[in-house]
Amino acid sequence: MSLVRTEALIMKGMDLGEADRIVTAFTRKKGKVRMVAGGVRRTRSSMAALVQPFTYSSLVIYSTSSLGRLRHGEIIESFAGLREDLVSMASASYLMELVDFLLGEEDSQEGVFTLLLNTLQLFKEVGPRVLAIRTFELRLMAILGYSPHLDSCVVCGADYENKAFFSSNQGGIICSNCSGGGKIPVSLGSVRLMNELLTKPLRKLLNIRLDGLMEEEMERIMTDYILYHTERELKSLSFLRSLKSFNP
Amino acid sequence: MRYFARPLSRLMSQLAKLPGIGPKTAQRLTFYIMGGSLESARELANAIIEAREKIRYCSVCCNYTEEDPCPICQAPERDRSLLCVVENPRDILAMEKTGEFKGIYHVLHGSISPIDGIGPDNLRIKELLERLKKDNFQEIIVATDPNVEGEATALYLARIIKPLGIRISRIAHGLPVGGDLEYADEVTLGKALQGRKEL
Repeated sequence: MSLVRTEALIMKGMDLGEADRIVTAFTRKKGKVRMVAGGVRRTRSSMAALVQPFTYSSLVIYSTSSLGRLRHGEIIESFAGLREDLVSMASASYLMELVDFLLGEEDSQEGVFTLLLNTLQLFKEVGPRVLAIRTFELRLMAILGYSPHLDSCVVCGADYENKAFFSSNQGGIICSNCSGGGKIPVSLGSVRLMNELLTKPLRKLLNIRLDGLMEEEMERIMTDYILYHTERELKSLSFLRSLKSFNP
Repeated sequence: MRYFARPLSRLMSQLAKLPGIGPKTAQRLTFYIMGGSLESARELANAIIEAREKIRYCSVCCNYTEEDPCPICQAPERDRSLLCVVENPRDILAMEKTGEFKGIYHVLHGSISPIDGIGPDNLRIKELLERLKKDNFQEIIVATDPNVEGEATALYLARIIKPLGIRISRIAHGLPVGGDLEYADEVTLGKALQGRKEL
């Protein structure tokens, strides 16, 4: 039995009983935790806004077993704007689903927490930029130990020249002389950019101009690479894609 | 060792499937039913079967109904130029209790939730669009829940309805009547400020 005070980002929730919700939050101290938030579906509940997805808050959680209980909390940043724009909301849902899928419960990962918080902050300030999503994906994979090898051919170690491929199976770039399962052709510009996304400060990256080809290549690579590790397509991704192709 | 006779266990396991009912509550309900008359147990069973057999979706508004179209869609006094879109049939009851709304409804049977894999195709949005093409509406009021799923649904509807040239509005967010300002959270209070009215 313990009382934990920690910063948290709300990931999702599901209804429980008459007016409660089971909320999944990503906390700075304890990683992903699930807790019962009592009475938050009532309109008069003072904690209803606190448990809305994407909200950044300071929570006090009373935990007795695997399922804690939310005692009280304060909103630090509501990120309400993300819920008022469809693409922002779908993009933020994708980030949350990715973290939810790749991390187990109570696996404390402060690096992931900071990355998630900074990316949501960026979404709030400049909108859900494609580059910010790609950076998030790459850095999340890197923190969790799945960083793709981008410096040289992952099979023979040679420097790739004009033509390179990406293989999720091999875990990085392969040159045209080596073979690997499920090769995706990739331009050198995209490889360089992916390297920069892993190392440069997030805000500096926003000035980079992304052409259509690079955007397409990087999306294809990261989708394939994440799918290789998660083994199923994330639910929010298809909704996000449908919004992009949607022009009424 | 079996603690309960087979029919009792069967009833408990069926009741425990209902939302919000755990094994203990299922036991309590089972023994309550056993303590009552055979007639009241039969009435309960018949009520469940009758509701399940006779109730269907209204072909106009997608609400649950016994007669098709439902009484609200048939009522001549309702304003047919005003359409209120709600998430589920229970919301119609809440709206009707206000006594403020005289238009007609459309029930979506859910809300968009990307993280749960619920997209527009899983809701009754196609039926709504068909209604909008067929009938002449002046205004669509989106009365989905004030949470992230309800907002996403409202935004999606605005995106597809606005190009049709129909006025689309969202119910206001704000403070509950009888509430205390100092206990209001900053998001609700912020929304209440944005939606303030001149006195």
